[in-house]
Amino acid sequence: MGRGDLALPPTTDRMDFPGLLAQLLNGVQYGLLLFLIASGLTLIFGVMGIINLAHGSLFMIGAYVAFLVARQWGSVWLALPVAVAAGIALGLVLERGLFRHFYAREHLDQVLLTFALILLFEEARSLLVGNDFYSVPVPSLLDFSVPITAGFSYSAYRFAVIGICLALALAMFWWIERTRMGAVIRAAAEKPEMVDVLGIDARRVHMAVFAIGTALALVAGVLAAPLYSVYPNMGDGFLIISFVVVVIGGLGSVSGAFWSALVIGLVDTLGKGYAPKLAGLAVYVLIRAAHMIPRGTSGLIGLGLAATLLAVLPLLVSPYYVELGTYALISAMLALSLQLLVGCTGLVSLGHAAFYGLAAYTVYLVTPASRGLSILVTLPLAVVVAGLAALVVGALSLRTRGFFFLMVTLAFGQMLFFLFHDTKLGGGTDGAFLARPLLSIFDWQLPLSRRQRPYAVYYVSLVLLAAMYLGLVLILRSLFGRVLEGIRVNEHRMQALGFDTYRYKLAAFTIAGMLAGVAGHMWAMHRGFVNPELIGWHRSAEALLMILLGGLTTLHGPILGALAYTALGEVAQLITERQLLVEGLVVLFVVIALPKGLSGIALPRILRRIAPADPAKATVAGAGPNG
Amino acid sequence: MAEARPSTPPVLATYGLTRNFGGLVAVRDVSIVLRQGELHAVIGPNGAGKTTLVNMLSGEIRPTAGRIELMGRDVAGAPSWRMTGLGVGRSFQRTNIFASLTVLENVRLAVQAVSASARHLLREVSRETVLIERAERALQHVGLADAAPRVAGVLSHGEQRQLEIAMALASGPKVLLLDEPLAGMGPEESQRMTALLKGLAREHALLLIEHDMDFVFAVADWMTVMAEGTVLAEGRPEAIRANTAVQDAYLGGHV
Repeated sequence: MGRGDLALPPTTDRMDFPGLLAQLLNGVQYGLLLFLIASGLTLIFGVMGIINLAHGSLFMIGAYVAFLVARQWGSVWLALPVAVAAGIALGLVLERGLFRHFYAREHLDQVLLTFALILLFEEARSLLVGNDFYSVPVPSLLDFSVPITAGFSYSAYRFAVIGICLALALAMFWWIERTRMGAVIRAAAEKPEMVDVLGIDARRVHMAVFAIGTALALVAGVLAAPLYSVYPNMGDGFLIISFVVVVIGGLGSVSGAFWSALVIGLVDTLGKGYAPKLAGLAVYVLIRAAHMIPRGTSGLIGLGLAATLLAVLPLLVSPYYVELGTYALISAMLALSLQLLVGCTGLVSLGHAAFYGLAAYTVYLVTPASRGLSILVTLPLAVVVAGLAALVVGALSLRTRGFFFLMVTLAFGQMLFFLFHDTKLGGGTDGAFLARPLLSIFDWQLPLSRRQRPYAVYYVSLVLLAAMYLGLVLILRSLFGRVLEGIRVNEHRMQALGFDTYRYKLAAFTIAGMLAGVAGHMWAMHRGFVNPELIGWHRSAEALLMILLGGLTTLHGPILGALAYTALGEVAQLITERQLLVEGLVVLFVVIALPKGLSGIALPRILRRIAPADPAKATVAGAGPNG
Repeated sequence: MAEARPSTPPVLATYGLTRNFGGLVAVRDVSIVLRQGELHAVIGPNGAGKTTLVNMLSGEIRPTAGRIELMGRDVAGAPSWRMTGLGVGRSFQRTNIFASLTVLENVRLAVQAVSASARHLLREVSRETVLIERAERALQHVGLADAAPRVAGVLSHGEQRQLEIAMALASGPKVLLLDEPLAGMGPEESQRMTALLKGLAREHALLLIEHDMDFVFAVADWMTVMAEGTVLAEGRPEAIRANTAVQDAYLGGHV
């Protein structure tokens, strides 16, 4: 996420007047680019209720269009009409082919759909262009500096970017404020059911909004390419910041997005200029400020079989697969801990991996270089740290609902990501290795050979996973578990019944964070290595995916899903180097064809007998933006 | 308004209760008293502010101004879960139940909300027989005992309305706020509900919003007529029937 760091004009350490001016102009230019991305995001959310996480990938596509066009024909200018045309076409295809079928679905399905798109777009990019960094030349027409004061001049290209963005912003305002379709869009953002009342063909509006939003993201990518270079996953950093812009600006508000994009562009740029280390975090704190303003038996047999199979597995397979199995068990713990929130309480968090990663980092930070610590020290410590973090994050984020909750948890997760990414606390971007040997009990080092260790980690993970599963079964059968179920089905009614639902949700959030800490602890034990990716939202999205893959309504679902997901990645790797491509396609398939996950196909009859016609689905969706 | 009212002590009283939504005043300066053993009906045309009034009493909406005294204690602005804990139970105009849970579980949750102590929170549900028995009693009270194991979402509309009341009763409230309990009910179901409400009025301070005038005049002990957010008149049903202002403003040809 080198956004912004790569191509800022050189600034002096002392902030004199020209330096400040340069930073201000950079801030405005960055903010306006953010606006192009955020305006599409906010419209797509406002009108269709879709959270398009792939919007950052659209931006990336734009940047690569600029790169390819410039390489082919030697001019970035040509890339602009190409991006507009490609954007509109891509937007129409996505809307008609995919998104249209997801408007009435839950946030979770939408998130996973767009996550699948990210995987596919990234893989396509890798196939077509490769994984290298490329620079894109500034168009020769504008490759000069405009003198402003005696000692200070500013890039003509950046001025041009500011100009183009402003022109596009004006055109947007005109479209939204002055045209009939704009009036419908404003009405829809305020009250979705209004569109039908106004008698305008909603499908036309949806297609237009998606096409224009997509085109704007591509144009932003083209404009950004000469400034920031093009590189894999470049959309990520812009996406997260754009979500912050959207939330602060007000969902569905284009003018709100405009002003908040400018503010955030300035805050981020000036912050980087003046306090580089803190800036990454500062912006995410804003998101908080912004939201203050709005305010059976057959199962037991199967389970026994599965547990037995997992227990004997290491005896049957090569050490490589024992390691893979350990990884699958750890993923299963992560997914299971998240299930307490998603499937049991109806809370879809996009920041769950933060607690997992934080626990892994805790193990790293407390382990001295010379010797390994007892698991009786590291495990409780990791769990307590993860739990405390979850308590704090939960206390702040659980005041929000639906989309806001998604975004706030995402933002907190990314805060932690940047904490470890941008500081030397845990080895920075590259991560760090732990001292070995790791697994010991009390002060007694297990006399494990290099060959035995993986087996020990495998079995410890298996025991912890089993304990976690049984613990959650007991929780769900308790009075507490019933409250969580009630909250998932109808939170408003729970409050009317006399439950302070906030406290119950916070307790669930904290427990889930602690359990994720167990998983993170075992990851550190397993790999002996920590890096920021453990915390990033991709890992959180993966965990959601495992849950969806396995099924939302059961506790064995996430375990099944995690095992299937790990196996899937492995198989994909065997048959093709394009692992993400296969994963992306499978995610698409699951989201579209198997909304109940694997357990939905594995045991349909039994499930139907236990839980006849599931009206809970509608109520979970009711936790959406308008619920 | 020189009507004599029963001398039972007031359970819940409002003073100058007001609520604005943006520029619109939904409820303006409403002062009412609910008494133990009295069925108090609030009537008025659509948009008179009746549901907003109930929502303030139940803590769903914060009043903009004014006081709500529950047994002499000002509770205005307390959130809904606290109001329930303090003894205010309610039903909703649009059926609001846990459709995917069983009837018994719907009511059991209501009992748990006010009576389970934190120490028992991690105990298995099936061992908390006291909660289950109380839930069963509440179901019996409204005549739904046989439906206990069924999934609430498959009940008939009338049964769901009964379930709503069982859920309100389960918390052992002193005040019952019922928002159009007869809405959408057939004649037979209405009759059963009428009998139920009469019985409930003896043990609770009962506030009722209802559009069915024949029903209201038949059961109410005391009436408040609202129009455009304010109290137009209050008194015994006979007095309300005779009140010319009320006739002009609301009842029209009905009486």
